[in-house]
Amino acid sequence: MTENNYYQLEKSSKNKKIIYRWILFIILGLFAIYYIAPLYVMIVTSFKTMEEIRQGNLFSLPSALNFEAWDVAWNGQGFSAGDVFLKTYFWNSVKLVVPAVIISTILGAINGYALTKWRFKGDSYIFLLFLFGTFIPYQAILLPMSRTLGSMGISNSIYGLILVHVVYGLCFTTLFCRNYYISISNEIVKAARIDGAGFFKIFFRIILPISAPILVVTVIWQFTMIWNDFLFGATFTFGNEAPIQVALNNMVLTSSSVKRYNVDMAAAIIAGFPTLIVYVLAGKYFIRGLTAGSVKG
Amino acid sequence: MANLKINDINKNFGSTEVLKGINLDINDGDFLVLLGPSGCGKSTLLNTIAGLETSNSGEILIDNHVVNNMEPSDRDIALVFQSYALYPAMTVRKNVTFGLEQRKTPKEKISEALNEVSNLLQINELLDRKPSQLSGGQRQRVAMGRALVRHPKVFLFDEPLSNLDAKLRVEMRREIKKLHKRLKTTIVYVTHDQTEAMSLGTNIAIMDQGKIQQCDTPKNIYNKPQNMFVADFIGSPSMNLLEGSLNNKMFKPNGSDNVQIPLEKYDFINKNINNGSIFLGIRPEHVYFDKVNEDCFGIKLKSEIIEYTGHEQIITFNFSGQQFLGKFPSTIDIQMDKELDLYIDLKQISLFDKNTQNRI
Amino acid sequence: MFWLKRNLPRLVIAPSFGVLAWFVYGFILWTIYISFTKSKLLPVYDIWGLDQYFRLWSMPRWHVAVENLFIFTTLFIVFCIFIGILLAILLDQKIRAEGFLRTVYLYPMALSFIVTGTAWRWMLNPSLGIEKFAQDLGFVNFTFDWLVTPGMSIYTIVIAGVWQSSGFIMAIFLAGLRSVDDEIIKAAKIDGASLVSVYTKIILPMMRPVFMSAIVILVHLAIKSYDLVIALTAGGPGISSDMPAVFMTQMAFHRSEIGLASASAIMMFLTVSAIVVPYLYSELKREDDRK
Repeated sequence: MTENNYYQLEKSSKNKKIIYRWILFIILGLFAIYYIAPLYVMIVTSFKTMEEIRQGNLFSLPSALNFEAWDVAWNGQGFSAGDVFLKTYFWNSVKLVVPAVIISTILGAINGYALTKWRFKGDSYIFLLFLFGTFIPYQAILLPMSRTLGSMGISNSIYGLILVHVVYGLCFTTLFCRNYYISISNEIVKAARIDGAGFFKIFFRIILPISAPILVVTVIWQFTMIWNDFLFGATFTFGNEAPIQVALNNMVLTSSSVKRYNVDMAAAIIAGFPTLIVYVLAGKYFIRGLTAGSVKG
Repeated sequence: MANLKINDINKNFGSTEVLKGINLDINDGDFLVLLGPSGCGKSTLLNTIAGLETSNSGEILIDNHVVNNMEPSDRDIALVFQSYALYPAMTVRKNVTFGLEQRKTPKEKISEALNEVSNLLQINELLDRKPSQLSGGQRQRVAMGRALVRHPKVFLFDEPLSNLDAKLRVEMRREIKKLHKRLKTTIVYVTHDQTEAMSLGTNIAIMDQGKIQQCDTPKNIYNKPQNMFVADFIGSPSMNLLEGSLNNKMFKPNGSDNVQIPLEKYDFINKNINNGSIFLGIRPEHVYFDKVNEDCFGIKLKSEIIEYTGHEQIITFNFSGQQFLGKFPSTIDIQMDKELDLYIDLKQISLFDKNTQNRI
Repeated sequence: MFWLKRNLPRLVIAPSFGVLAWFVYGFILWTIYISFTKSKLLPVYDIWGLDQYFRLWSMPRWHVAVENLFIFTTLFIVFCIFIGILLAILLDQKIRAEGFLRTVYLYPMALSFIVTGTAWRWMLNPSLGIEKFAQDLGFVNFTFDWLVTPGMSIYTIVIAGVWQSSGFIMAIFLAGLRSVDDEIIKAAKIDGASLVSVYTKIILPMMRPVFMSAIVILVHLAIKSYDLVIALTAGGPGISSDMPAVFMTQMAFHRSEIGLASASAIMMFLTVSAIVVPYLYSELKREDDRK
């Protein structure tokens, strides 16, 4: 190769790089707009008056920060009948989520621990049952579940929903914890056994203190799943016992005389707010949960 | 085939300096080994030569052309990786020829080159397998085949043998030596294994803390270490370094009142000798029970610990409070906890200034 | 005492195992049983054979639902994987704003399908949404009324579904790309591979397990999709965007056809199983091989 060739190689590869970089940023930026747009539209719409919505367009900013739609979405308009608002249902969901998340996480942790650190005959088959349980379409259990809740006397109640979410969340929490504990050295457990610790002592004193990473993932996963659930809520509850997603859907679908898009959007933001906050604050763990749930086994 | 020149290369990762003014001159056909403890910058230097990392300042010349701003693929180098880095989804054949295909080499030429290397490395039977179906040694061969097939100007090796078991490592080491003898290519080889470095290199560059401590032939590195780091790093067990003082070409070890070691015959680098604190270095294998030559100096030391390794035994002595090792054939019986008569060969010693740590 | 100690791990698992056996597998068996009976509003336990399945497959509405599921699943998978891979590869180019962009691409996954559906329902509504926006911009003849057009409304579900889930596919592909040995990419660079061929010839062929996972997750999401349909189109206009999950709920809780509903649920269950069982088998085998 001559000197000249070397020089040209340098130059062309530099120019190429700059052009590639620009194309890259443009594509990434366009996709960012695609993902952000609906959230943006929801926010601006929620602050507009209905008059503004009819006059302006989807993306225009509101003339002023108008909180009326938010107030209506949260507190209602004060009719006695047919007035759907979120306040009651939001607290229903909180009352449902907290115990369901705690119970399913604790059970999952202890199951995962027993399945990985105290191997017994048939444990891998039991694990398979849990694993497959994460995939079943819930339509296949809806009918018997609603009959069971009825015969237990807890249909159309928060308690019934707690039971449902614990039962079907158990598969996920066990799976997450099992996959985490399997990566922890068995020698720790052996050492503790030689030191004279038993099943529960090892769990509480040795395993649990190093489980923070997976417990965070599990809690966030369960919180998101249960908060966002619609199928179970809509099937097993109605009226004042319903969780928030059901209430939101009822509110949007109520075909009262005029559609109030601003109220719908405010309500949608309220219903999505808790999970969004968790995602923004703990996105790292959120992603880890998603990938832990996907790359199974 | 080409020479390789490295002029004053500096490299920072953030505020940490990884390479501090590296200069190397590698002639056509040289086998240079970069040797040093982990984190000394040797792999970074190799990656910089390959163009996988860029230096903050300095120049790299291959065949007298500055290659600093060239892509790795345009530098006409090949690199054999520690993990072999074989493409998992491709067959061995594809792995070897991929580089040629990317360069739009004509088909006949590719199959010719493939034949050549597969014969050379005896990988003919493996060509249609996937990397996951190969043993460690076979992967190693394929990785070398992928490098050889392009006939690059410079070969780079990044700890290529460290993933093999001990026996295979010795075999592959010999193979690499054979290949170099046959092909006479310029090689830069990174390792942290001194036996590998000593047996392979025509030259060794010892690196520590981003600097080249000494670049020389294996013999000189071993016998005439330029500073205490090199003296200590090379050799197993490492060189005894006795602390003491130099006065009128006489060495008085610290802690002993009556021992004076004469240094008239030592070849001082600087003929104006400064008296003061120094270290006297002597390798354990240059300590004897008999007066093997005229230059031996007799001392009386107490034996403390014996480590028997089969073909030899390493004895720890107490030299007026300083630890002193000797290496002897395993055939002789040595008594412990006893004052013994020993001889050290004064022709083999190295002296280092205590302050600068450099050879004097 | 010794017996107790020996069997403690089993005893601890036992309640969860019991719950699992009863509420998951027992319930599935019950549903299978009911699908073989004549049950209407209340379960009857006389075996009637496969008649509910014949009824199911002779219903035009079920055919619409299955066809929609097929359209939705195919498009959902194709778009999610295409966008997911594209974004993952672009984000893998040492972008400075990567953390921020990743957050933006993935946040829809935190929202429920009901919220997603509500937002898109508003944006896609012809009178005030995107259609009006485009017309206001001067494209007077622009129409975008898929939401209320039979035959097209299923595609709006695809749009919203892809928006919600593609970021997740991006995340798993990005994790896959990041787990590729750095030295392999370096080796390819030295071999002179262009960026495009590094990805198409070396890295993407290594991503086969990730493709598998992504497809299984997406199929599974698609078959279960109920919330999104309800919130966006409620199966309408008419039954034009009906899906098996919606069909099942309708039959079970509004039409008092629990035998038929069970048959449709079992069809869904079998479809999921046909995809998940081989997948789990190969995944577990891979895990065994690693040991």
